[in-house]
Amino acid sequence: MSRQSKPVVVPFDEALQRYLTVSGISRRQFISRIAALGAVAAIGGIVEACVSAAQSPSPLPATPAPTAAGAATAVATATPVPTPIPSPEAELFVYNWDGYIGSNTVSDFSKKYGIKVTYDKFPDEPTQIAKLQSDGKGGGYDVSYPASTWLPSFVADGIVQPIQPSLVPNLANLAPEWQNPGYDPNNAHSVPNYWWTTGYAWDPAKLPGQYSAWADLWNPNLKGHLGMLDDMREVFATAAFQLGLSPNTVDEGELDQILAKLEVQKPLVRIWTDDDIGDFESGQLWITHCWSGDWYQMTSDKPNAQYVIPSEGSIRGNDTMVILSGAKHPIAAHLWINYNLDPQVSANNTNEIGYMGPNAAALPLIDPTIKNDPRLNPPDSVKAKLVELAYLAPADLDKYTKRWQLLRA
Amino acid sequence: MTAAPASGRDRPAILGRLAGAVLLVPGVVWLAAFFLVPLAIMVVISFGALDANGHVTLANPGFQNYQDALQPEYVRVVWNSLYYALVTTILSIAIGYPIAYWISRYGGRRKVLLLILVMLPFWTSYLIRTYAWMIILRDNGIVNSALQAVGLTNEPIEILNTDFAVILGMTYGFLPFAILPLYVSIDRLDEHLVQAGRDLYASGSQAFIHVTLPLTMPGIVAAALLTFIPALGDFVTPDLLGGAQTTTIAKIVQVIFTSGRDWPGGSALGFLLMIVTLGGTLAALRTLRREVLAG
Amino acid sequence: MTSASVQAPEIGLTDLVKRFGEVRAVDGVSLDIGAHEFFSLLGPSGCGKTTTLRLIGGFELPTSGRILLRGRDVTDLPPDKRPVNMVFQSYALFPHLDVAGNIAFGLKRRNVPNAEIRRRTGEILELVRLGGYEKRRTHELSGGQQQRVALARALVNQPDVLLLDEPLGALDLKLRKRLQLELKRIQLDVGITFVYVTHDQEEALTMSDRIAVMNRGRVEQVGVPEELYDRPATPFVADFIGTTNLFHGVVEAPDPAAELVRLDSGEPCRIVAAGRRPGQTVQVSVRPEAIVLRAVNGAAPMATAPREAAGLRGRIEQTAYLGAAVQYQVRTDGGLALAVLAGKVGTRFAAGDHVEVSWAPADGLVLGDTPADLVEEP
Repeated sequence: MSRQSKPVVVPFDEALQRYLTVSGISRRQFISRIAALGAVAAIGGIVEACVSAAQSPSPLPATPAPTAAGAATAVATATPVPTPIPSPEAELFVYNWDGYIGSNTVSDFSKKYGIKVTYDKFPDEPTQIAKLQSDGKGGGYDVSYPASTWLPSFVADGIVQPIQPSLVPNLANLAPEWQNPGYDPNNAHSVPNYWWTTGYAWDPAKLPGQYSAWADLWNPNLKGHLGMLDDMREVFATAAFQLGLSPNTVDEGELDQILAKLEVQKPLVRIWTDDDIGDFESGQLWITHCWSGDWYQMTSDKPNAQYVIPSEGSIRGNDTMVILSGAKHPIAAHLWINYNLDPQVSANNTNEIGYMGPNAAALPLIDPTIKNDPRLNPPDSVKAKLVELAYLAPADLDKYTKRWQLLRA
Repeated sequence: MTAAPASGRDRPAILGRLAGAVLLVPGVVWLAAFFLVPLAIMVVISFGALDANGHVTLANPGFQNYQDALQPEYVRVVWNSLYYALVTTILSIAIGYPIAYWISRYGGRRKVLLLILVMLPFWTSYLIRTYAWMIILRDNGIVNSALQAVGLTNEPIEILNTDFAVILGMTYGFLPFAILPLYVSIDRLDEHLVQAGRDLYASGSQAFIHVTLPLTMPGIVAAALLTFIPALGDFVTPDLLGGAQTTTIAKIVQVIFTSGRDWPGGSALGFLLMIVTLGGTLAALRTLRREVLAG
Repeated sequence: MTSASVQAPEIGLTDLVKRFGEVRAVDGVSLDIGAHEFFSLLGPSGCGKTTTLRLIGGFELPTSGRILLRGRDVTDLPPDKRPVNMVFQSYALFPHLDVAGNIAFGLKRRNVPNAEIRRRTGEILELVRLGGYEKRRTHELSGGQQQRVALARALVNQPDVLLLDEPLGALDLKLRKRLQLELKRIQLDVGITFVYVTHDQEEALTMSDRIAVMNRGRVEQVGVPEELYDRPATPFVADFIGTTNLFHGVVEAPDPAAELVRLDSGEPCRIVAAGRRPGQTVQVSVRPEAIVLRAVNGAAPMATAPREAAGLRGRIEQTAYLGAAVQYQVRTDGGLALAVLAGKVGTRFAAGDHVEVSWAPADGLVLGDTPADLVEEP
């Protein structure tokens, strides 16, 4: 897609300031005017100036537009207490993994800001990426959660728009090591969301033995009970670690070795699963390749389920919150991101889904059983053996895909 | 003298033909816009490649994608697809024929109601119905619970993620497609022809084999095509009810498009699949027509 | 063919009843059909004739009653176990088979060797004058040719009895006439019993040895054609076979020579004496061609005294020229409407002409000589 088609994004806090100055009204007056007139009518002109995409005529929010007082209460728990700008937008479209957020987060946000959230879920990453890339600007969504490996290409293709740091004061809550990640310097286009390790979970009632390595997933006894993630890069990594290779290798010979290794395992595999949690809980799978947080969610149904970060080394991944370039509700999107960086909200999410976040301010609020579980929050010695999946250029990705097809065939 | 009346006679005929052609316009426009144009785009893309940024480029068009699509490793997947489609088709007709026959011959005044009942599953999304099958068939699902409750087995039997589950789900899904054309052809069959067969010393089963079956063959072929073609391309059922060992060619196309984000490669394989299906269908129809004509 | 053939019936039907729900399509039919007979079941649509034929063929099972073929009880046998074959009204030719395939169908089911099938197919096609049509598709044939293939397909099996369900119904008049003669010829050639269903009385009269006239599921009368025409047993038969003029009346003067009947119109009419009592009601049938017209002086007033020989007075209402004859409609002074068929020779009348109408007492057929108390006439 051409760069010209990329929407012109004017930093809108500037635009907002300009509007307030020109109109000769104070911020307080502005906010009460929104409350009186309704968000859309008051700010429609600005948004049109901000974003090339036309503002769709949204219905008035069901709940009264937030007042200054309400907004102040909202951030009372945040340490740096700046006043966020109330959203002039009544709607927000979010696209995220299923089961990847606290169960009350969406409704609490809606209640607080009077924004109707359409929260769509995708089952697997290819579906997500295909949707976000479909029109080159996010497939109609305002916010989504791509894995960090996608950031470079999303930025290059103009699928995401820059984050306005002034609208996300809670960025200050991020731990120092998350302030300037390699995949997105200075979090210019993304905000880190959660991070995880990849390993596998098993049901000790069915499989009483010891499991500690990737190699254990090649045990013929597992035939018919083994699940592997329907995720090309993660599956290739399981073999790469056993072979002492990098999970980011693009060497054809090494990839052939990886494929050969995986072909050995294939007859044991019952499903390459999109739903590791469901398949494990319903008894299809006794042992399954999974992400750490997924295992944590499995324990709500099978409390004895075990998880290991395999000894050969494993993947550490994180995903991000991004605002898509085609977002029609950029202000609401910033509000959403800021809300999810709130220490209490962030901790609530983690306590429910078991994924550790980058939020230092949330750490004291996180359930000790998660915080102190080395499988969910591994010690530095384990972290040292974790590798991040790197972004692959299309030609290199093609080397993987070709072999993945052969494996699946 | 001759010219004037001739043109006078011809003009209404031409107008009539034009008026008839007008009826075709919506259909032709629709097909062109939503079938031919996307198909053409797909074909064009299939000769392209991905550039360094992962975007489709037609800078050096060629047959590379088609060569890639003809992997010997795909034989097993193509065989899987054919096998599922074939067994599904045979089962759908074997199960659908008696149902259609019964509705046509004994449905009486309730025929329409019975046909609506056949269509009833369509009132729910296919995806939801397939998920329902997952719940029924999985290791702690209804079937396994029942088997264990009756004491037929102690450990859950592996049903979901097997060939059996895929064929069961596909047969369930495509059965109505088989029943409707079968019903039409059976209902249209003149009962006197069957009686003539009986009159000419054919037993009930002989009359079925030598009269009913050949005369309802068009319905059987229609049912077979309406079942086999979508079954061959079915992605949802094998993906949801199947497992690691039941990959179909449609799944490979999906993997190429999604995991690989390789639109040219996926287009090539998809187009190839379409050509093969189309060719096979035409060949089947031609053989059949020859057979029917030859008696 | 006479009723003597009844001694050794080819087909014997005893008290056949077929009910469809509440409808009694066949309501107590008993018939004996002799060997080599061309036997017709004649009646209007819905009279039960086709159902009777289908019961003989085995396509329907009777609600009660028995069916015997050459003395063997076949009542409960399916069609393929009965030595009869059927020519369907729609011909029911197999569209997926060619002419030879259609004809061979029955022979193949009975495992006749292929060479024999070929020989017999050729022969039967010659019989129906379709030699060389073996490889034709049935839909390429004309209606008459299809009819003959249907006939050949049935006859090639050499059945004891051939059943024909209005086989000429779909053909145009001229072809029908020709095929009537041809069917008759074929029946004489093969010498088997034909049971022929038709609603066309002329067709039945032309072809049949005997005819059973059916009405409302029952047989009204069985007889050779002349019997049915000249001595109809019931008003229905009289009316259905040919056309007739029907009068109701009351016997007035018993007379050993010719009884006088006072018609409902008040006019007198003489019939052949049969010792009827005065006051008995009768139905009189007079065929149109039995009526004689005589010109009357238009100005002459009507004679006051009743005339001998049933002379009635009236006026011509309509005339129709039929080619071989002229048909008149006459309204008598008493109000009766009469159909009269007159030869082309002799006086021609025009509408409005005054005429005298008469017929010989012997031509006044008295139908259903029923005791007065049982007649349902109002």
